[in-house]
Order: sequence, then C-alpha cells, then structure tokens
Amino acid sequence: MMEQLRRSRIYLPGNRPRMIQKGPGLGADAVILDLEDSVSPEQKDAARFLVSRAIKMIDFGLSEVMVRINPISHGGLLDLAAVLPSGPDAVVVPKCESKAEVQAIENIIKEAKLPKLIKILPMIETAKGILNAYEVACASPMVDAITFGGEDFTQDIGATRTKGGKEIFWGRSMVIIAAKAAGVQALDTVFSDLTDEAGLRRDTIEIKEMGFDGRAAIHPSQIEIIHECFTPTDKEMQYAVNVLFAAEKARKEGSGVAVVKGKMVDKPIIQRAEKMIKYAERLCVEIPAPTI
Amino acid sequence: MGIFDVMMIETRKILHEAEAGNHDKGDVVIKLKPGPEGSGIQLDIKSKVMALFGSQIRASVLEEIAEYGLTDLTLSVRDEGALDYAIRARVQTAIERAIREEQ
Repeated sequence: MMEQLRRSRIYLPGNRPRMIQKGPGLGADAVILDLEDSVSPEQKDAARFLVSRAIKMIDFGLSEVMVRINPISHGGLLDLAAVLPSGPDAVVVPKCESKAEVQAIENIIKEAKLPKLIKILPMIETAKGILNAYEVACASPMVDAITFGGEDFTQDIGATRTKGGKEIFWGRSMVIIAAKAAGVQALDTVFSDLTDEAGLRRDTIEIKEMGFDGRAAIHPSQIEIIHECFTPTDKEMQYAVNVLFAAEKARKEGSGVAVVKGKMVDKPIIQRAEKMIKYAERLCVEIPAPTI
Repeated sequence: MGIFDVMMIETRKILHEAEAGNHDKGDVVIKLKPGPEGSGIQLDIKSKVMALFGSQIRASVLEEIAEYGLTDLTLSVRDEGALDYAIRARVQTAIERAIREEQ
C-alpha cells in the first residue's frame, strides 16, 4: 500500500465552525480537527457533535481527516464514541506513553465495526513517552506514524523552549529512530512563531534532514513553506537521477560499483535516490534527464 | 456495555434551559426551554439569510428535535451564517445539555 503523504497537518479548533470549513481549501496533506487543547473543558461536548457532523458532511478533498482526541483518562472515550461512527481517517492520541494505551484505542476502533480502516497516530510528548516510543510505534498495525509534541515535551522535562531547539533535539531524534525501527512515519511538532517565516523554513529543512516525514502547522500560512521544504530541490533531484543512471549503467556493464562525480555510489545511496524519485513523482515534480 | 452504547439516550424530556453555539461568524446560538405540557414546539428563528434559507433552517431544527422525540419546548435560533451541519450540531448540543441533570 502506498505510504500516506503527510508533509503538513494543520490543526483546526474543533468548536469553531468557520475554521473547520476552511479546512478543504487549505491544501494541507491532513487536517486535524482538534478536541483537545483548543477546546475549553465546558465546550468539549459541543465540539464532539460539531466535529462528528463536519466529518460526515464536509468534503475535505485530498486532505486526510484526523481527529485529536483528549487523553483516554480525560474524556477520550467520549470523543471516540462521538466521532468514530463518522469515519475519520485517523485518530491522534495525545500524550501517549505506552503500548497498552494504543491497544485500548485499537480495541475501541475494532468494537465500532467501521467499514473503513482507521489509523492511530500516537503523540509522543512526555519524557516517559519518549522512552517508550518504540513500543508505542509497534503497538498496533493501525499505527502508521508517531508524532512528536515539542511544546508539551519541553514542559514535561522542565526545559525552556528555544528557537535553536536544543532542548528537543534528543526527543526528536528518539521519535525518528523509534518510528523508523518500527517501519512507520515520523512526524514533527509545530513551529509556534507565526511571524518568523525564515525560522519556520530553517527549522523544517533541518527536521527533514534529520529524517522526519512531515510536520504540524498551526496557521494556513505555514503550509506552503512546509511543502516547499519537503519538496526535493532541483539539485537533489538531479543527483538522484544521476545516481540511478550510473547504477543502471554499472549493472549493465557487470560492474558492482557505480561512480557519480568521482564518488562511489553504494546501495543505501541508490535506495535513497529511488525513494526520492518515487516521492517526487507523487508530488508531480518534473524528473530531470541524467547529466552524466 | 460498550462505549458506543453511551450514545443511547435514556431520557427524552427537557429538564431545564440550555444553550449552545456562539455569536461568531459562521456559527449559530441555540437556546432551548421546556414548554408547558401540550404547548408543542415553538420556534423563533432569526438569520441574516432568512429569505434564502429560513425554511431549510427550520426543517433541519425540526428534524433534530424529532430525533429525540421531544414535543413541548421553545427553541430560539440566532444564526450568524452557519452551515447546515453546524446548525444541526448546535441543536443536538443544546438538546443533550437540556435533557441531562445539571451537575
């Protein structure tokens, strides 16, 4: 099955009809209808009904429809009971710390006997969650991505959130390693400063280089920048094409070694190039001709 | 009992006044009060798009009330340009709040 494209996921407050209705036109790979942090405790019931109806009645087009529920111990069960029958594509589970939590949600989804597959996206955003990230990522076949929550994680470890992000570097790395070891996607946290486009660009390029498959957005203006950062550059594309050309040429000539620009190209480099070309094809990026 | 049984409604009687929604653009405010026995359903709808969608709003509200089998109540709608799904969700919220015992 083709991996879901999740460069961007935008949060939409679950009790604000006008913002939910903007979802289809935002062009994000996923919309997250939020029942957790953006909804006050006394409006949780209203948000459940609104989100449930929105999923049924609004066509979100190509965007994957996710719902962020509350923690199971704080209303998450009521959230699931309300929204699962509407058939979201995925359930985002905040502050997930154990395999047992994921499996409890898996059981509830199975109990709902829905006519479609629903994914579980656990958020890793506590110290305990980080230490258990691999078991969470492996907890269920319904998990096809784990996501890092930088703001809550920073608070949980008693650190100060900085632009440089040194306080979350290790947490981010753990989420990537756990996700890749489990064979699922690694998705990153939000970039909170809406006024700093250059900072968003810099940070997104950095997390892409670290191995993340996408990140969350908190404002529509962030989506395009995130997509640009997750689109291979012309230079990267040219290199990937040349690598595959050289590898094919070496194979035809019976040589085990391909060389591009004087450097040996081995199996991991070829695999990375293949992955990039497939990814570029999905994004409808033009594939250049080889130049070697 | 599974969690999907939570949605079963045990009582279908308006116990007290309730409200749902906001006066934000694209939203709607629903206010619901119990009515005397035999008074029927009294609707008071105000909307910027009354001429175009008034009858549709009325039909949606009545459908939601009928889902709960409620009979004697007064319901006011102050529409700020909400779409049908939002109107229905707000009516449902107001009813759910009105039929449950106050904490």
